[in-house]
Amino acid sequence: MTRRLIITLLTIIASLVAVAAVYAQGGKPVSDDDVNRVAKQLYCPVCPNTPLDVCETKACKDWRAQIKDQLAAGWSDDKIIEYFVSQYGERVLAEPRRSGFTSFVWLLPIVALAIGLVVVIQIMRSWKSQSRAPVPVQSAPLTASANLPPEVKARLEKELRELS
Amino acid sequence: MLRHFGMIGHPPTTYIGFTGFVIPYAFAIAALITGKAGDDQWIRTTRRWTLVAWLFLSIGLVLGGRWAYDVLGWGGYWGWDPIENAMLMPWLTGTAFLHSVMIQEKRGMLKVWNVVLIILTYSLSVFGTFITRTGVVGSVHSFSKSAMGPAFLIFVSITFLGSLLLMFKRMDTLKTEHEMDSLLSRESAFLLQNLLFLGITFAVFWGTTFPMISELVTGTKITVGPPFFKQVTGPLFGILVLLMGIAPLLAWRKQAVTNLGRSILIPFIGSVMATIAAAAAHWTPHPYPLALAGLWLVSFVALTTVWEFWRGARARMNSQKENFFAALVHLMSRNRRRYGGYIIHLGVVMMTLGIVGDEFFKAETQGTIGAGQSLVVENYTLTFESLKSYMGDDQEIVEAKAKLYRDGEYIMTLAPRRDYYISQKQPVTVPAVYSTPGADVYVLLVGWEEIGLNASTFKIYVNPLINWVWAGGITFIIGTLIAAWTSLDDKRATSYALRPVAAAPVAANG
Repeated sequence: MTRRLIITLLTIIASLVAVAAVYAQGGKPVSDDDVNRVAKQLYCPVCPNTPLDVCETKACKDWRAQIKDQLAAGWSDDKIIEYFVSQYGERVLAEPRRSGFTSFVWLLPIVALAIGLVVVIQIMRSWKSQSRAPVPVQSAPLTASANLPPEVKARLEKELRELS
Repeated sequence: MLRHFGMIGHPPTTYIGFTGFVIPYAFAIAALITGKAGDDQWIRTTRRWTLVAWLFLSIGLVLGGRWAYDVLGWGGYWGWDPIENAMLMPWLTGTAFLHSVMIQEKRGMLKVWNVVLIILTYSLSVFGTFITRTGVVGSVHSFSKSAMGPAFLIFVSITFLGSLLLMFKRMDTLKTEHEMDSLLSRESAFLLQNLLFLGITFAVFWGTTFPMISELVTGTKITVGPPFFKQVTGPLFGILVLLMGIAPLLAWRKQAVTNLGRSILIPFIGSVMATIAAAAAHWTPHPYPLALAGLWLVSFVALTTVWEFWRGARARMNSQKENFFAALVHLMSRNRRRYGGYIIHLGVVMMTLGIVGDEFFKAETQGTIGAGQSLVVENYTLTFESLKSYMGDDQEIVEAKAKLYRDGEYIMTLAPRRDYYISQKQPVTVPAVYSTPGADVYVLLVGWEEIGLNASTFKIYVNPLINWVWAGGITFIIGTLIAAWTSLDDKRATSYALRPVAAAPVAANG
């Protein structure tokens, strides 16, 4: 009795799962937008620097058709991308991975910028510390300005007025 | 495909731009050899040459982008292709150079750095030629390959290293004359700006050459596509644009915080209000934080720059008793370099607006529809009418007719085509575009059923604000022309440096 019940239940569950699987496959039609969403992240090895979603060659059309079939079979985006990487290598990825050797492409610009920032701060500090030393000389340019030609003086006066 | 106006103008302007940088470079090297690089004569003599080279490079970039948008049929204008990057890099360092020479002219600082920048710019121009002509990296620009690759690489290396070596030998002639009083000053802003330009250049260089490096090291070639360049350079460009808005307000040597606060208060309030208004408006379907930050940035920098014009004109209105337009015109003609520069900045802001719109609000859809059926994207509807094929001069043309509606209202009939050039055996997708300042609706005929011609596949892009990229480009070029134009005041302007002519009289007086 119980045995029969278990078998019946299992049969029902199994058929439900099968129905769900079929529903997942055929329930939602795969649109071109779905294909492009995946294709955008891929480059075929034949066409240099043309993303798969816009490439017009025969090879790329075949790839897109393949993506469509895979989506229809219920594959996830990641699984499809993983499949193309395993088949053709990492060069099909539009965005280099952030792990392994390709992490260098991401890291180095950040490192370079950080070093640059340190250098720039050092330069600014050195400029500032230089200015602290000769404080008494600061008034000198004022007297030196008396030697300026009259038209420059007139312009200085005018611009000072305009500033205020 | 090559008969577009952009393709007619793009190669010669790019070429003039590339080769034009040889002049400031040659003067810099000559100044180093003769030990005169410390005085800024070489910079003053070549200023206009540098500007013109830079102008042509800018025109080349804009024309190339426009051509890509009109002809390549992927709805964009910049694909971070190695060849595009090769052209962008000398433009970036050239821009840094144009700015940082000002600090040497006015303050006698950064002399070493300016020499480095012009060496870099020239070397990158040659490097660009190397990448272009040798085909070491795969690109959509399929030029004829030549066997001079290794020779060229040796030439680039010798040029770059030799120039740097010469500079180090002459380091004693490049002493900084001046100093600054505060970390908040225009000098600091220039340094930061240089850092950002160089940071972007490095990221672009590294991303462009990484596939080669990867192949050398691991044996596998990889792709470094647009997602990399956008994520790495995007934030840096953002900070750069912000700096472009604030730096012109900063004083040399020292900037008082309260003064700065006062001058940015109104633009700040205005930009926050503009951003809120934009977020509330209907055309922003997904106002996520980054996009809003971009919009705020654009409006803030636009307002600070316009504010500079307004302040200058108002000062003249008061002192010269002129009306507003006369004051504005006189202000600009008296000070072409400065206000030409600000117009360039406005052009950059307009381009940034276009780029923000295109990056964050772009929408696309693709689908196969029969006659009478429709595709919907955002508030646009495209209804397919008919398909016909006919012969052109040298091409077989397949042309679709489709009606475009916005919010259910008929706008126009679009005719996207696919031309097959018989002699070149090359298909060309000709987009049909409905273009407005708010957005472009860019329709491509991707495919069709061979039998019966009943169903066709369309791809539709909605590119918001993209026309601001072109308007900004034109503004940018006009600004450069104003800045480069000879003015009667030039002699007075150049003799009117902020720093004393030499240290000697100062010491004598003190």
